[in-house]
Amino acid sequence: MLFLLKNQFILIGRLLKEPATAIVAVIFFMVLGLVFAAEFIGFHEGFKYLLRQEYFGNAITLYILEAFLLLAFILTLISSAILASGIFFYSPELKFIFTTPTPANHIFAWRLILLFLLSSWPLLLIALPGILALGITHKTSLGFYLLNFTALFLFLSFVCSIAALISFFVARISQIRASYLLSAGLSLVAVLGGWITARILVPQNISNIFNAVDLTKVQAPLDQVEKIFLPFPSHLIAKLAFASATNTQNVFLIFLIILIASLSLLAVTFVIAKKLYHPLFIKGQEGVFIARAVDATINDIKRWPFPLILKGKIGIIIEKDIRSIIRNKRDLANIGFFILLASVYLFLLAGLAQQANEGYKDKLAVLLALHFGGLGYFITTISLRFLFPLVGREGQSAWILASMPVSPQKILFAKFLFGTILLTVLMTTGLYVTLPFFNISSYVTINILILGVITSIFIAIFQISMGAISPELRKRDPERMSTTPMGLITTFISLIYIGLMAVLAMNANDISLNLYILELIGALTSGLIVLISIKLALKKLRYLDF
Amino acid sequence: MIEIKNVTKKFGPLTAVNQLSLSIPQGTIFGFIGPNGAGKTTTIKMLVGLMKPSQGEIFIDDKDVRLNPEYTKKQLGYVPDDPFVYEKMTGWEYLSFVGEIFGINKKERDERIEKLSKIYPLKKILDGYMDSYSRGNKQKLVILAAFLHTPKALLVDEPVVGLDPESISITKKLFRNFAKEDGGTIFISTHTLSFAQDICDRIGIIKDGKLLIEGTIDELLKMAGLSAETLVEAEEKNKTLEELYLHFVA
Repeated sequence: MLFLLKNQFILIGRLLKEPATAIVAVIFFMVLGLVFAAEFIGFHEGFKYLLRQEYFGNAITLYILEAFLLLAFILTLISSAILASGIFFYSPELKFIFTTPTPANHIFAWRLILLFLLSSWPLLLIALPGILALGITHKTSLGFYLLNFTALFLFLSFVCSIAALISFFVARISQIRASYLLSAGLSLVAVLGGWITARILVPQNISNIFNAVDLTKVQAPLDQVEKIFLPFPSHLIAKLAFASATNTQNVFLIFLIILIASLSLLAVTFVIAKKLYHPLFIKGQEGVFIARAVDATINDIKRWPFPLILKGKIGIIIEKDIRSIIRNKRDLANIGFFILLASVYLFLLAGLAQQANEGYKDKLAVLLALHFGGLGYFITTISLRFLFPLVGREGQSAWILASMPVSPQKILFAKFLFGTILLTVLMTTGLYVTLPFFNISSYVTINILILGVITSIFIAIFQISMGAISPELRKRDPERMSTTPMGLITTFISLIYIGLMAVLAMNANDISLNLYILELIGALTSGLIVLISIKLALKKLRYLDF
Repeated sequence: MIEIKNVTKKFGPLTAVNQLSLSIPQGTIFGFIGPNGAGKTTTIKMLVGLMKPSQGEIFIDDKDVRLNPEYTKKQLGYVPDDPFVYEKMTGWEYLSFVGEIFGINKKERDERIEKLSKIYPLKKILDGYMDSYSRGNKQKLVILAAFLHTPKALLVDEPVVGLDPESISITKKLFRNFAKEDGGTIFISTHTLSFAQDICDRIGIIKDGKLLIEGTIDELLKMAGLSAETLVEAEEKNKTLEELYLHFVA
């Protein structure tokens, strides 16, 4: 197991020596560092203020800890559940490793450590700065950090154990032929997850806590806060952090519960893995042989027409792309994650809008710009994952289209059409559903919708073109194109563009000539950038050796 | 049908194909053989338009490939050396996709798919995703797809790798019929010399990007000047082409 792990690190080390990977890694860690620093400063200032509040400081500190640790728990669970199937069952290297005389439980342990490392980011970015800030503001001893960081470590192993068990469950049910039902079910779970997360983040019950007592005489009770978060596993971590910072409860008892719970679940997972991992892996491999194809032909009498709706060369290329995305488990997992994030955002917005009073009206323009930027960021992320690699994901099958009587213009146009329709539908639907929360006039709504359409078209065409300029057809995994230097440059330019369009959205209710001049300049610049990128992409496709 | 005029392909300092000239008339099966890295695949890729020659011209059906890419591609069926296909598409969908791109209407397309799927025993897996196909089955599907639009010429790179003996025999028959009955031209690159010897009318041997020799097997035998004993022995073992190959290449 250690040998396998060591080899994994050697491989990562070699990859980091490649200049392109090294640049991406440096940028990645810089962004990570910035986010960590921003989180830490936010928590530090917040906890410092709360420490001075005699009557409600403790209750809100606990609430913040509980809410953020729950958020970290949900994100870690989703992230590790998405990664787990790939790590335990679909990674190409496993096919080789299982042919060697390595015991299945050693392979499982190696993959579990990888899962542990890869899904630790929410705890690193949300929980760690929070606990660090709490310790510093409360001037705790070194023991506080040791205790809480160990608890976080145990908590991560707890979440990864759950994720591993989920992946076993998914591996089992994915062998049952009901993929569309499964996708629909998982989407529903994602939406529900979003709703729950949003409800937790919008402090709906907090007023009850403070209404219960006279805050000029007695401290706000903590039990009300604890009651809200009691059903979630993150509650114990929050309770431990709070208790060890304020010396209010028996911290060792809480730590002991965390220790026993984590180790017990880990042991149960190992016992289950010892029994199920190898058989499930083997069963999954059987699926790649002829049996599944024969089974599909015999049992699936219904054959969906192809093309189903769109006719002609352009139509069938679009349908081919759609089918290959919705049939790819990894793509589906990503779509599920995006649905979850969108649900969190939309439910959060709805929740806040319901609670907001008239006081925010003077900040309406800024809020509109932020909202436009938020949705723009969302479609940029989707575009980066699905549209930027749209040409590259032809991969080693690129010879099929390239050897057929279809011009690069038509291929690119098909991709543009798919991308622009997808992003425009997402952006305008998002805006149409959420703009009523802001109580704005239909004139402003229409203006913002138009800006949304322009933004969607620009992002889609620009990202697909940039992806076509560096298609990486020979790479094993063209979908990872989004993390190449070209992917990062494209994201950077797209985000600047979103920022500029958000500024225009901020002035959407301004009917002066200046706004129209700005809009015109924006549209012309967008058009020019888009034209240049299309020209470069076409040139690349015409002269590309496949 | 296929005309290659002084074609050179360079990859940086490496010359993969060097001043290659060939003319393959209609109805001919042309075998292109040579060691690994000799330039066979590069030549086929240039013929189909997947690579651009650094120098020279290629004509398919008297039309310049560079100037009329869509027309020339329409005349060709291509079978690559590695049958990378759309993994998450079924075999039937793949054939439908090829048919739609080549502009065959639905009724005719369905009839042709039905007819083609009987050539190899593929019918029972046609509705399964291609990621569940074996290499041989992917290869058979790609060969069938190349015939779907009734091309004038076939460009085939290593057609029988991964095929079982029965399928190799079917493939030989399929290629022979295409050339002799439909008047189609086939350009085959292969290392399976017995296959080439069985079906090819003419043979070209390429090494280090240069065409060493080209002609019918009889013409090559004359040019090689091999001893009568060697030839009789080789012919008994159906290894005439192997002897010729070793003579010219080694």
